[in-house]
Amino acid sequence: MKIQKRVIALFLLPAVIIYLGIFLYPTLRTILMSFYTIPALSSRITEWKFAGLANYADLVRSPYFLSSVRNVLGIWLIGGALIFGFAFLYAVILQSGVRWKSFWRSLIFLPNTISVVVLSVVWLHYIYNPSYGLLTTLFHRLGMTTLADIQWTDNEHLFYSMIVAYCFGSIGYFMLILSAGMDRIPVDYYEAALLEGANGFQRFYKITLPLIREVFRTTVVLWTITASNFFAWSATFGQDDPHTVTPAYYMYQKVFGVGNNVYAQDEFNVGSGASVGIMITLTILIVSALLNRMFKGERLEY
Amino acid sequence: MRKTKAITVLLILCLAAFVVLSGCGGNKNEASSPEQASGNASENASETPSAQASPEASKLGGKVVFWSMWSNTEPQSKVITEAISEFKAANPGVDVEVKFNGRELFKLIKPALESGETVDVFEYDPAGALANLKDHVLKLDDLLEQPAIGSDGKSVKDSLLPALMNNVKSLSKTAGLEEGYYALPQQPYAVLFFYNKALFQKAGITSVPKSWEEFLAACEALKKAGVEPITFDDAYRDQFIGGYLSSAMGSDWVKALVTDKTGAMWKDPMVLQFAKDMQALHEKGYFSKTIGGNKYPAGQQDVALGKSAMYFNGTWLPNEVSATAGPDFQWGSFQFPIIPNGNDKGGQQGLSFGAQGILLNKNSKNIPAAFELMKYLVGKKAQEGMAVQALAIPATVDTPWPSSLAEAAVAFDKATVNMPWGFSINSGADFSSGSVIPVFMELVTGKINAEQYVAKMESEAKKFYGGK
Repeated sequence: MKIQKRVIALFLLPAVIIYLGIFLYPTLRTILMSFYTIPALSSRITEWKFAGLANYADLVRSPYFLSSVRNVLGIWLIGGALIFGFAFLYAVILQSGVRWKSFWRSLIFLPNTISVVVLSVVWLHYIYNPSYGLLTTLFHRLGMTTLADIQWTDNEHLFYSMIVAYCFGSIGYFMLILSAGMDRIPVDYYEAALLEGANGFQRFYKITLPLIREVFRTTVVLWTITASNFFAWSATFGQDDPHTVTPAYYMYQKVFGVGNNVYAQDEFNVGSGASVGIMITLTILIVSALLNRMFKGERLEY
Repeated sequence: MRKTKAITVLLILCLAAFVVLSGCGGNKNEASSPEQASGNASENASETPSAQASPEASKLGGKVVFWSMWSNTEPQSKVITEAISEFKAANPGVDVEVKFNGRELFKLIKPALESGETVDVFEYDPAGALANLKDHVLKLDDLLEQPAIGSDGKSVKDSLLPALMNNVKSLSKTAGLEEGYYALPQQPYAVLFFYNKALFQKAGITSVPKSWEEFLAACEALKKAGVEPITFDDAYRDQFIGGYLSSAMGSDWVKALVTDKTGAMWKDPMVLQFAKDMQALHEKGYFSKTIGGNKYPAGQQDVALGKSAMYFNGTWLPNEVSATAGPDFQWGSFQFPIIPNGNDKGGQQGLSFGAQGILLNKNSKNIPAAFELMKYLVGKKAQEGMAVQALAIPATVDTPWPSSLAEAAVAFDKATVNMPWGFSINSGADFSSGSVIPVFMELVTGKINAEQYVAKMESEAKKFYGGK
């Protein structure tokens, strides 16, 4: 039976309308807003003042915003290396037929189910605390006083401490996706390789890695999106500290005027927040396109 | 699979147990407090006729939604709950919905008001509210002439501390609003050095330091007694910088400094003197060893535990750490010491004081009932409750202060100039949070010396303002 195109369109209509309403309209409006100076989120369009590219120019010149960009790149790179390193390791261990597989998988995934705020309180006040935190207590017990005296949350260490704490909570999520991808690989390949005398590393590099390339690409894109929108951890770890601020948190400060008061010099401008949002979106689009190109090649079917 | 299920079940059980247990605890508290409160309310209604003094009070109806900046575990929420039940007893026709947001309110209120959510009355720091929520606040001048609750016929305006009322009024001009009162002040605060009296005695310090020299002597004595003299948390780093500089030069100078687009002001001899003094505090070991890593509230807990002696913070400090400090902890306070070589704008005439505020939504559909509720919240009885239960300074005149803040009253009496929060050190907005505070921390932790500090600040200012 052939369905008329018109009927198809009719059935798609509700979804398309909803999509346009709740996704496309806000996006277009935000793009428009980023070219204006806007006193408040609820300001009417008549109150907007056209500013051209001034919002973007101000951002590029602001050392505070630039440090937020540096931070997010650091998070993407260092955090990405940590997360994927451990996620692969755990996924491979789980796949190797270890006992109590489901238990370990749940255990590694568990931190994901805890709220960011709770996790960061635990890290800040029970692990990194310089007087009674886990790290200082542990190093004191072991007699390593120089390590015990490190201030994990001062200017120099705060950024790395935040990344470690964040990765702790995120490894499980990426491990789950990777190990689901690995589960799809037929066991025959491994058996054949085993019979040919391949060792664990060879099996990983020659079978597992090539066959989960698609899954890996997806997780890298997911990680890029997550990292670009890195927000909650910088809010809880540093607030407006330039060592932890990220573009997403900076945008939030600009749009909602956090820490703003009548004495502050800077004029409150929602438009500058909008331009940060646009820049984040563009970054994600560009990086996704690059990744797609990098992982190009024929799809493996098995 | 079965194992996963077992774990899931276990987790759910734990969670359920937690919810049930905490739920019970909560209920117990809630059950006891309204009972108490309503008892008090009826008692009060028969004793003081003032509750029914305003003629239309009992005719009020409708619903009032109140968002509080306290969370329901804080003692303030208990006092507020009592005040609300008293209000309800006098105005049975009004339905009050209260939401204890905690300080999350500062993030939630703006989106809520802008999207038109029904919030009639809310609490907020007035300086922040008048900057961020200008279009949502109602001018209260006419309403303030109504008689206050429990203040023997005084108007609301006259029942509250005049210094606070003037402060609220002055904010309206700074914010570019028509001059007037846009908030009822409550929970007044001042920023002072708080210290542990027992530790001062142990170190043999007999009087509070007034000058910087005396301050250094006190630090030396404390250090010899085996106590860390000074600490602060990341949340209050700005206070320490602002406190020193404005004690020398006044807060207008501080504002000019952080907003100076050329960076030349950082070459002022006072900045170098400040940097040298901070360097000395670090080198002599007067700062707590953990000062660089202190995440709020780690540092103030150190004070409560007797590890550190002094902390430069708002008058809410004794209440915030009361659970750790215990009832026998002896609090003292003094103003930032006088800094030598300053101008005549500094010294102890200036004090950073202010208050939290209760504000009325301009678009409220039930303004009469909403304001009536606000009157109860700043009523004499509620303010006495704040002083006793929350160790807060009462906003009403003639209400006794909590004993832990007795010495703070001295500073309030002496001060003639009100300095903004942070002594204007935050006026540079992104420059303050992005450069002033982090570079100060490098100085405090000995990563750079005084001369490097001056050079670095000058170049940071040039870099930041260069493009503007």
